[in-house]
Amino acid sequence: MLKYIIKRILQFIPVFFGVTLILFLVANYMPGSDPVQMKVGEKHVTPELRKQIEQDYGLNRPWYIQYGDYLVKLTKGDLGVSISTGREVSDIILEKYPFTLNLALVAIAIEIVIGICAGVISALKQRTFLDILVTLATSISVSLPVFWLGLLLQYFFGIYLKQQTGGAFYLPISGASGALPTWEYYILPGITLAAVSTAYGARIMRSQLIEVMGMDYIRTAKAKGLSGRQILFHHEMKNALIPVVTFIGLDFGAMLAGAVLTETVFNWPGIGFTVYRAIMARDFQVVIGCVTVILFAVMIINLLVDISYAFLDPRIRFGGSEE
Amino acid sequence: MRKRNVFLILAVAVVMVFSLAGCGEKATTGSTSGSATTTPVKGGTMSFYIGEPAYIDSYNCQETEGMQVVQAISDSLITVDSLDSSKLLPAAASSWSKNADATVWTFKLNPKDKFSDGTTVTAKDFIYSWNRIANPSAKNTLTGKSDPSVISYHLGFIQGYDAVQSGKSTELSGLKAVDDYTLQVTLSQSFADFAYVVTHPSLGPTPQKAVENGVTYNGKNVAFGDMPVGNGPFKMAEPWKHDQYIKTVRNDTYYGTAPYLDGVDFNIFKDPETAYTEFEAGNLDFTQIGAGKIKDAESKYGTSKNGYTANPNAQVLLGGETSVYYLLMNNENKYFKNENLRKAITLAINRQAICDIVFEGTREPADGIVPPGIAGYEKDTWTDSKYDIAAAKQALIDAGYPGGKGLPTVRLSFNSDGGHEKVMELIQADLKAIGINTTFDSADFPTYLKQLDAKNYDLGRLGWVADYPIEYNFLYPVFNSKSGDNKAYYKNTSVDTAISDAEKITDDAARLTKLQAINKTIGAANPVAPIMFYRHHHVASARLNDFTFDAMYLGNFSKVWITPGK
Repeated sequence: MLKYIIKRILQFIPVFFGVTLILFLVANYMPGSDPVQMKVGEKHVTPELRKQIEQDYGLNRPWYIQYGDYLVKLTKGDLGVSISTGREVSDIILEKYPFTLNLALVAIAIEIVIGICAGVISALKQRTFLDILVTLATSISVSLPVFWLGLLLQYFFGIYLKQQTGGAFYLPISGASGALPTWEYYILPGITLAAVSTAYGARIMRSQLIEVMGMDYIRTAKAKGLSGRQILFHHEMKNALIPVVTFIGLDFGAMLAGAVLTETVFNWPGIGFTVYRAIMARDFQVVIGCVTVILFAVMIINLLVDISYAFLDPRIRFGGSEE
Repeated sequence: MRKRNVFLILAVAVVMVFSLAGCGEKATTGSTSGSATTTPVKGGTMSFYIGEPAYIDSYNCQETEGMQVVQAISDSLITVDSLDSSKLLPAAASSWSKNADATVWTFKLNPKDKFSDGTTVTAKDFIYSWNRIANPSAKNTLTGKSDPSVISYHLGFIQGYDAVQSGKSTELSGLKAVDDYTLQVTLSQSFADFAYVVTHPSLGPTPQKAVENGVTYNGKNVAFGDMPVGNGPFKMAEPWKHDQYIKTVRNDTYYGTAPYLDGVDFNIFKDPETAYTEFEAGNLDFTQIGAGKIKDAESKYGTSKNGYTANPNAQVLLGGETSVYYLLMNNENKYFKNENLRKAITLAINRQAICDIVFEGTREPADGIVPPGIAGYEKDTWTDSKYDIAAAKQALIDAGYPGGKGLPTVRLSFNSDGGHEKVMELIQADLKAIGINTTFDSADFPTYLKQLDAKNYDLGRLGWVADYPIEYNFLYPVFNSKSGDNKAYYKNTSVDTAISDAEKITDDAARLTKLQAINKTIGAANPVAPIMFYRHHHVASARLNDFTFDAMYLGNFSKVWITPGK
């Protein structure tokens, strides 16, 4: 098991260098990569000002020197300075990441609870009203564009309900109000962010469970006289969950990179929009800083997912199958 | 057994969702029983939509977002009347004067003017602040690292500017504190409109101690860049919460008339659409109107008569802004140096259609390069800046290209990232109608600007946003042959001389007349084709009274008051 984990961690090294190197090359050779002009706007940049800014932000050095500088500074936890705002990138990330992480946790909780429950129910109640309801709900959910669902929720819970109840009952629309928003602020963005994946999660759960239910070993378990509950939790669920865990784990990793649409619609001060804005402003220090942190976060999640397989599937735990 | 479990799970899930939904305890009182008062009342906090500013430390504040905040917390020497840009009003300077050739300016400071930390504002604070802007090795207070100001050009006329920019000196030699309350500014050339330059919100005073040592908030040291200290009607209530809000409260040490509001909350949104949704939910007092919703907003909230001042039931503001969007024509190009060809192009463009179709009325057709809201604005100064196909065809004949014969396919260049394609499509169709064929040539913004710098274009686009509401601010940067912003490469030495001569005229009316005449001279040559002026598309809540959002895109927070109980 330990060997497996170490192997996974070592795989991170080429991924890290691959991603960061490509980013540095893109930033330097991409057409229109001119952060100085973006900082000044449509107005003319005098050569003196350009020279000064390039010198202050180290943009006048070749990319490999900049890359080396980035690596050296990274070991000290220094992610550089944003050219468009003059702020420390590490400050920006420390400020934004809790928002992204919390929202991702809420969304993943919704995904796990509702997605898995709905999937199990519809598998157990195949071709009943409940099954049809779940299938219908997941179909709708999958096909709704995220921002549109967000807007609908905002209008219904934020405006319509507020007007109907004279302001007594409503949900906050945007996350701008608090230092770290109180829990009611998470509801609408959480649902929006989780919507599509919850539907996929439910569908995967349903199909996997139905497949497992038809297996010979389930019939054997039944013949052994195990109760329905024992069969469901010890045999069916455990086997059916592996693809679901893979899906949810990957999705969680994606959420840790921020969710630009959800963050925009709900004005959520997360990392996704920060990266988006930095790309638009060619604020490369912010992009590389955020990507570095996201990279670490995603790698950790992937590692956790891999480890969880081992608990679900004894063949992995005991090294019975080639990984 | 299993059946019950399934329903239990479902029931728990349903209960959870709905119990979560039932938690809007933070409801504001929905009662609207406030009696309609007409006399201003003190109290209340106004919430104002902005995008995330780049800077609120005035030394590097250039975009409209940060400027709103700076305007609330800092007063410059002079201010412009919100509704009449020809009127200058005293602010930190109670009076000012200039010498006979407008090279030496003397500002008498108001001795009652204090920073919000209680220290008196003196001439030295202005000098410190301006030197910091001019100095290319100025430090960002958030990091302590060098971060030069991108707005130092405002001070370009002050004596010693070049020496400071080149690093030979750290102080502008033209700035002198005659005494604590007298600031003398010597310019390197006559500039009779300099009073307008010092109205810029970013040129207010800053206290050196706070800039260098930071500010104490809740026992912690906060960098000046996150909690600037100024001399304005409001002061920072807490450090800037990036991407969330900037809260300000009334500054009790303010020298001027105290504002009615207890404070202004600048709520930061990523997207104006979300801000408008919050406005409709009753959680914002001032914002942009969402796309395609202007007519709806007008019928719901009523339209302000003057376009700039919001009052209950006259809440939608559609006044013109001091910015212009224009079609560039490369005046050095072998075809476009032909004045008649340029005239044909400008006459062929249906500006009203662009404003209506692409911008749903949030822009208005340009009748010249100088927009309304600028001191001395006159209607229809550029006589060819109108839609007249017959005249356009005639001009094309006069140019020697009847029906477009003899002209190659012209490149229509623009930056692909600003939503300009729709405008360009209409212009392309308009030009085709008189026989000029064009092809699109779009690039990302920095590449596009480099292309303009390299004169590698036929037709292009640009916008110009006024720094100060004066004609000079359009004529010099956009058309002077030495200006870096003259991307049309229009060159007329007599216009160059006339502009600098006009700035030697100290009589305001006479100078204005001269600048108006120069504007017409330039307009007759059609070096560019003005397309449209920007317009407000903003809305205020029914609580606000007398809130003016001026043509320069700045909110006037000193007169606005909130109807009690709302």
